Amino acid sequence: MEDDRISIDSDYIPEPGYRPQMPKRPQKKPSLSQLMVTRSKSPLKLAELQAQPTTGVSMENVGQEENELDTDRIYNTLNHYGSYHDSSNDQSTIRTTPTLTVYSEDDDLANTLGEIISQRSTDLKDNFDHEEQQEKLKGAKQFFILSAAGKPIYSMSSDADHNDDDFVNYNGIIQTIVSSFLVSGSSLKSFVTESTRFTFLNQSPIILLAISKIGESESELMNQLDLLYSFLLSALSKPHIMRSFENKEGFDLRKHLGRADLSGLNLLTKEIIDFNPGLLVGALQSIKLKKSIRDKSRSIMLNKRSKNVLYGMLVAPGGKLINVLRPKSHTLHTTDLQILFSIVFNQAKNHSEDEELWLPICFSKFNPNGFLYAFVKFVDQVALILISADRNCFFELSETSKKIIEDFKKHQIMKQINESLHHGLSTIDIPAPLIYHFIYKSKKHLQYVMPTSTNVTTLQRYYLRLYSSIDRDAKISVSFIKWDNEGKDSNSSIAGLGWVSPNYEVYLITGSITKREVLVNSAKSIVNWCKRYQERLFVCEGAVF
Amino acid sequence: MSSKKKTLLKVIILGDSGVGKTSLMQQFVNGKFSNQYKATIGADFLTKELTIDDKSVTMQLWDTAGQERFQSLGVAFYRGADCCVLVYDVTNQKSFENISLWKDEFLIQANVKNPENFPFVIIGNKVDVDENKKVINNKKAQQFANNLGNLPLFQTSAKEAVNIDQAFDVIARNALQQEENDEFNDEFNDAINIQLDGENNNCAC
Repeated sequence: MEDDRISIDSDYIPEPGYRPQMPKRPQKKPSLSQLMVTRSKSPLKLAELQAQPTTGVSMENVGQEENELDTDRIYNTLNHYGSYHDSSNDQSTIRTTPTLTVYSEDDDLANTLGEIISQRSTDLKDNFDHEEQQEKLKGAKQFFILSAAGKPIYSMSSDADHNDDDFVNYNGIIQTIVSSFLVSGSSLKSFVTESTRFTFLNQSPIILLAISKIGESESELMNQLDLLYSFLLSALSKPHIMRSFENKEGFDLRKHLGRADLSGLNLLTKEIIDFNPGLLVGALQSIKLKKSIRDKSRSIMLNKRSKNVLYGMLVAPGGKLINVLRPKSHTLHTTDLQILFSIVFNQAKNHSEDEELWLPICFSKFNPNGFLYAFVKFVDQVALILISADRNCFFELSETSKKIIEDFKKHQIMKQINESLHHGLSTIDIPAPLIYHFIYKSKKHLQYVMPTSTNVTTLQRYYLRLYSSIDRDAKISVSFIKWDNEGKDSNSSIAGLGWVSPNYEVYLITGSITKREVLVNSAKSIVNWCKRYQERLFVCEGAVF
Repeated sequence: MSSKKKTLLKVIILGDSGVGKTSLMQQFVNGKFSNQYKATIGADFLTKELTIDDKSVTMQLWDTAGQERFQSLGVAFYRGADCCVLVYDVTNQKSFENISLWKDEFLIQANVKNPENFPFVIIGNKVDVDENKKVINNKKAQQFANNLGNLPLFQTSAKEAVNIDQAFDVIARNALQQEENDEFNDEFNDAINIQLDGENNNCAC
């Protein structure tokens, strides 16, 4: 991918009368059928248009309360910059700061293509070459965890022996690099070579390192390292780790990590590498469910809760949230839940449905100093998790789970959940034409939804780029990116739009239409749809006691 | 429950410049010797796979700069060592006298919790030279090692590979013993006391 970002000074204003050179309007608009044919035979040379559009518009000081107008404001602003109208005066009352700019010369073509808007997005998937994408990801990332003294703790591919030897050597180097910075009174966070970024998280006595060639930023890698560190804490708790190294800095922490812990780390790194959007956007995926069913499961969990149940969750495979039971005064951090769900479904692989699990787990964002105890019972692959602070109440929670599940079955809740899981969520459900895939995060609920039928791994680099192109300091930020010649067909393009507002984040990717106006309209449709159906899409209230 | 991963033994080699630290390590790990002297800059390490009583371990030997001006990496890599090797040159009185200084320096910088139990091994190198050039005899060295706490002492020649394997065998065993010696007391109260608002308000009605 070429870096098509064009930086300009924030106060850059095009000279009056300036218009980027536009391509000549096609003499005759091709009909839909002609377009379809030419696309596949590829005489429609998008590349020759030399379009380099990347749009990023940040808005600050927009009204505190978000209202419906926002979408229109962004829409207008985006179009304003996007089409380069020569009137730089009609910015109305919004102070805008273009962080990126756009030179799009394919408006006319896009207009033409806009006429085939009825084409369903599912036709576009051939643009994404899945195998090629997978191949590119191989060896593009690595994680190391070691002690401050350079003793190995974990490396991602450490099941192969020859890698283990390499790991020992890397450890020496990593430890030397990190500690030599510490000696000089500074701390090394990240450095970049030509194609690779190294990011360090120093949680003395533990050092974590991420190496990435796929263009992730320091903060994204730092989040991933924090997740791995949180996992170590979840298995051991902070006091345990500190005391392990207290008497001997050269302690080998692997002595305290069991097989389940290592396989848990393997699973977590795999989730990162295969791209779990929830880890990127910091949210839990939720499943679409009728409000009445969600409400019923909520009231059942509330009614059947026993004294020592501190939290309860109903979770579908893949860590998809169905409902939550929690005390009014306490919430659990997204990272803690992501780790819990990862552990629970990792355990599920080795246990049959009629088994009940009892897992001590340290929720490090909640309290890194001790353990809570998770009772887990699977029903039709869905996990009912009940959490207690009391290590001796397994039987109480087991009894509670039976009552809850009995009631679930009585009200056909499992059946409804399974139907919903079976149907998933498709772009076809949403009136947003030509969108191949999207991620919508509700910031209030810290949950996200996305179409479930697509292998999201292949979209990782597009989403990463969209995500990092957003200006996180701005209240509202919109970014438009187009990747020319990226599809399987060398003449096709892939485009994406990222849009972050105080209440939501939406990222979308399309495989053919790359006109900003269309994408913005689709983004608006997605946002409106998700807002309209938010009680179906998200766990809004949860069972709070 | 512990994994089957190879144990890593971290060994630090210290001593004045030119006593043969790099040569000892090269002879042990690669079976090579060079007459050329090159000062070590910063630090360097080599690893060697060993089997000690059926247990396979990886020994990571840290070669350090003897010359102060080349100690650019500081002493951070002393941390977490499982054994420290103190080397002097049998033809160099000063390097012998400095052994106890190197030992103290290590104990301070490595932040060792139980200094009296930490394994050190002393090596007097260059025994291949003519007798008349030696200024430190065996007896003197042995007495010195005993005074430092009955430390194991080896007279070696990196050049002619004399006593190298014997010395490193003891180094590895002592390092392994240190590595396996975990004074870990796991008895602590890991319960979290959670106050629910509702519990406080029980009598509010």
